[in-house]
Amino acid sequence: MREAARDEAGDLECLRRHLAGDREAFGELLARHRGRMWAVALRTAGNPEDAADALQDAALSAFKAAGSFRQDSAVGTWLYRITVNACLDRLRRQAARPTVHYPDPESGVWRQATEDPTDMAEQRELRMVLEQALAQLPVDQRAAVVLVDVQGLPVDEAAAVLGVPAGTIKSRCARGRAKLATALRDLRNPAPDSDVSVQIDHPATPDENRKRGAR
Amino acid sequence: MEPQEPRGAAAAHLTSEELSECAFSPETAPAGLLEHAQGCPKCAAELADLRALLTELVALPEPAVPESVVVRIDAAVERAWQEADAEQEREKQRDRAGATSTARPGRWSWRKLAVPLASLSLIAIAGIGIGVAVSHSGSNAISSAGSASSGVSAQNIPRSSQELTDPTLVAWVRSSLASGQPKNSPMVAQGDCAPTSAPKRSGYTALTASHREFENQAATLIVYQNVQEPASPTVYAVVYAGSCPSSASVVLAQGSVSR
Repeated sequence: MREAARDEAGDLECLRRHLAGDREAFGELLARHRGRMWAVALRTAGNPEDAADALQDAALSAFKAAGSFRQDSAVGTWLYRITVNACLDRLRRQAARPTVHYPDPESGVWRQATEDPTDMAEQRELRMVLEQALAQLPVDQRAAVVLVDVQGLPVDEAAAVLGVPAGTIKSRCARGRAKLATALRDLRNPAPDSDVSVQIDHPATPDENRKRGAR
Repeated sequence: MEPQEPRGAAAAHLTSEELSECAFSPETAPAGLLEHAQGCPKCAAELADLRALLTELVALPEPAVPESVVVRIDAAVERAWQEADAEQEREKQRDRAGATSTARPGRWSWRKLAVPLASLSLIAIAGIGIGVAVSHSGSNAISSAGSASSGVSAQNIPRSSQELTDPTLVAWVRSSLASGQPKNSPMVAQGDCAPTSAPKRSGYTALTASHREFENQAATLIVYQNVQEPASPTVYAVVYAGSCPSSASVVLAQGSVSR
């Protein structure tokens, strides 16, 4: 707890220096949170390209909004909120497009972004399936699961980040978890004549099915 | 809230939300649910799957931020600073030109005002350890742990407050002062509001209140005077959103003005 309080004090000091005109301070603040912001952006957006765009949007939004930051949440939570909203904005804009692309597990940038080189092959496959299943959840469930289960935010805090009641977060998490658990179960116990890949809410494209079948 | 699956008869299995509660928050899950899961092979298996999932989700490695993303973010922040510098320069030029003009600035420049003022309030905290100006919704803006804020609704005004230079706002302040409301009188709000006092500002007393359309919304200007320096030629002006200003109102603009 003391460490958290120290971190928060450090964050506030960065913000204070930034608002006082210190050119280095905002970069320092981002550097303190960049890893977590990237993890949230990558998993919420579902692919590195959109995550990078969203993270840039988020950094600029935070830069401009620093003067109106209120201490009703931790600085980290505030940055999570900006990051998640930047991702959701991007996803909403994409929803208007005729085509939607999912993360491609064969893509080098995705592999690089999600792979832990120390992992055993089996563990790596499990995580890849999990990341892919996560990316295919409906976005509201995905954002809730990412914040609560992956990032470890308390339900109330995740509710504040996403601007919905805590009960909604619990409900979204429950639905998302059920689908993810199914994906893991299928991976461990593949049915002989069924696709071992994840369950998704809408039909996959032939291209997606081909990729899954190839793995 | 999304609808839950119904669970009626004793033989019914746990819903996905109940299973989730048992797996992820067993300490808050009703005991009856856990008991059911222990005695029901189907629910027990699903619970085991969810617990395994929890382990995997928590253990997902935090992906490294690609160097290209770091570089891109740094460049974006640098550009943001350059834009802020350029805008500040434009504001200075506008201020100089505005001294002889009565043209109303765009809403953009009003919004920008809040940021440097907030920043000055922070400098004030660091320098003299007093509280901060609150700019939104009555919550504390960034403040040091040593802030003297008492937690009541009174908000502080930064000592080194920035002077308002926009001619429209300055004219509004002077016109409000010229209206001659007696000091410390209740500020009667317009519209459907009950008579109310001006939002409190520590160490300051409200002199006048006036209402106008501002940034396409109803707004109230409150002019404050430093209690310690009643003879000071400088007053402090705060423009609150709405016709019924309170300590929770959004501050649209604020700064000091020479009478």
